[in-house]
Order: sequence, then structure tokens, then C-alpha cells
Amino acid sequence: MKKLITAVVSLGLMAGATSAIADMEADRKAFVGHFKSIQPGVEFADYTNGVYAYDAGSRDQFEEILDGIPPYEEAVEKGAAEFEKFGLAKCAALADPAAARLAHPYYDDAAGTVVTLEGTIRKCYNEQTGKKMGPMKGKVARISAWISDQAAGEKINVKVESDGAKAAYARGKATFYAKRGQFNMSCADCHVYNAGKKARADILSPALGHTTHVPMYRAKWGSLGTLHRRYGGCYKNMRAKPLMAQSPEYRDMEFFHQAMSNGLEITDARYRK
Amino acid sequence: MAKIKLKPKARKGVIGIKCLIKHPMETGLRKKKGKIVPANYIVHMVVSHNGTKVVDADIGSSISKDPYFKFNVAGAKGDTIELKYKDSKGKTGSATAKSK
Repeated sequence: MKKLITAVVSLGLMAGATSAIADMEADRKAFVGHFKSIQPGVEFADYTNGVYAYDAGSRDQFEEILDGIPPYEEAVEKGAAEFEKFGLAKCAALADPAAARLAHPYYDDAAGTVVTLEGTIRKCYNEQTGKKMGPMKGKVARISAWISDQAAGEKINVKVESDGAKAAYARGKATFYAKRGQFNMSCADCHVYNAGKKARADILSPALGHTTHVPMYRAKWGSLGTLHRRYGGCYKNMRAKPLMAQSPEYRDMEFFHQAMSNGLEITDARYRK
Repeated sequence: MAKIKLKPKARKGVIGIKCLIKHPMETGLRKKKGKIVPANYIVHMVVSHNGTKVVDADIGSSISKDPYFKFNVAGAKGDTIELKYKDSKGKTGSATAKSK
């Protein structure tokens, strides 16, 4: 009940904040400009590789892993088989996998929510088999990875057009920049302002290009996971309670997050440390 | 039938062969619900380059599940690499690939 009240109150607050016009294109330019200013030597297109654009040593390791037999290869092949097996191609939204990856996430004006690729896969799976699918790892990550592979080389192009979409975008932006957890840090504190610096032994990845390779394979997980699984991990690291994967807040944030990476190539190099 | 991934790649007169064999590699010492899981591991593996044997390995139960190997062999692009293995149950597997 308390959670519900908090959600309602915060939604109310955010609705107030969104009356200001959300200009995605200007935000994106400023965002890209910021990364250009902190790391002048890194080309925009190279942000597709995330943190590996920053550090030559890690990049060598990354390329060595991709050069041989990437650890996620098996899982992605399994995803392709599962896509067939569950008849997901019968759903109109997933009939063309490459187009599906490019079309998501989008704002559904009729439903009034952001629709993510994983959301569509889960919905379609439910329609075809009558069963439910988990939102973070396993089937959903494998299938989503295979679908994203079909769009490799294409450029991310999230459209923020209608008023509802702009409101969702603004909510996502607010979530991204909001401080949280016992550490009182926002996503942007690490991944925008301090990207490329070190947190203990790890280099902080730039938020620009975070979404080019999702779902990702992390060595820490030893398996594929969706973007929302990573959000949960990030929340936990900041000593905050993670929200549910595919919750409206995360979906709004994904909408904002992907929009910031507009113009970057989608890649099938899913390995991350 | 176990799957084999075989990826030879030529670079400056050397072929880097990377291969991964999907295999349970059971040692025969592990128990599951009180019962011993029967041994099933690769005992012998041969890699040949254009028909000549270049690697002849006796592999035991100490190798991990889904073993991954890498060899370097002198050769050029387009050479044929063949991998064959035999496991303790007598089953065999093979894969061939052209070097990239």
C-alpha cells in the first residue's frame, strides 16, 4: 500500500514536471557534446562499443573474446530456435525481427505506456503458448538477443513525437538523473559526469551507447540478461531497492536511455565485463 | 550428438584454430541424488591440417565441461582443418572447417 502511495505521489510530481517541453533532439546533442568534451579523442561511432571505446587494454581482451567463440553464441542460437518453436513470428509486431528491434521502444498512444522489445516478446509468448515469461534472463534474453542480432549494423532511432511520448521521455529522464539509494547517486553521476574514470578497478561506462548491445552477456552473470536486469544491478550497487523489471519506471527510463543513443549502430558484440 | 564449433583463422602464415566441443565431461566420480553419474569424457582428440595430423591429444577426465582449445598451426587461408574426438563411451564426433 505504501509503495502504491509513493508511486502515485511520484507520478503526480513527474506529471507536473513534464509540462515543460521535452526536447529530445536538443537533449541528445548536449548529451553527445558532453561526452565529446570529456573524451575528445573518441569518435561518436565508437561509442557502440561502450566502455571499450575508452580503454585500449580492455578493448584487446574484448576483441580477443569476440574473435574466437563468444560465450553467448550458443545462447543466441538457442534464442533463434525458441523464436521458431514458440511461433513468435505469428505476432505482427515480431514478424520482421530486424524491424522489431528498430521499432522498439516506442510510446503506445492508445495504451499510454512505453512498449519495450522485451515487453512485446513476453506478450507474444503469452498469446502463443498461454504461459508467462520472466523479464530478466533466460528465454526473454535469448530471444531478444537473436532479434537484435538481425538488426546489427542498423542505427538506433527512437522517436519521441506525441505529447504522451514526450511526457514518458521526461519521466525517464527524471529517473535517470534522480539521486537514489544510500549512496545518494544517480545513474548520471557515474555514467555521464564520471564516465571513463575508475570506480575501484573498473572503468565507468558512458551512458551513450549503453543500449546498442542489449541484451548483453556479462562475465559477472555468466549469461545473457536484459537491460532491465542491468538496471536492477545498478540500483543494488547504489544500495537502492531495485524496481521490478519491465515496470513503468524502467520502461520510461529505457525510452530515454535508448533515445540518447540515437544514431549509434546496433551491434551483436554482446560481451561486457 | 555433441556439437563442435571449429573456427580456424589465418594470419601472417599462422592459422589460429579455436575450437569448442559441447561435451558433459563427466568424471565418473560425481554423485547426483546418491547415485554415481557414469563417466563420459573425451579420451582422444586429433586435429589434422590438410590431412596431416598436427595435434594428437590424450585428454582425460580432468578437463572441464565443454572444453575449449586453441592451437596455432603454420598454414594459409583456405586450408582444411579437421577435428575428430572419441569419448570414453566409444562415441566419436568430427567437424571440418576451411580456414578464413
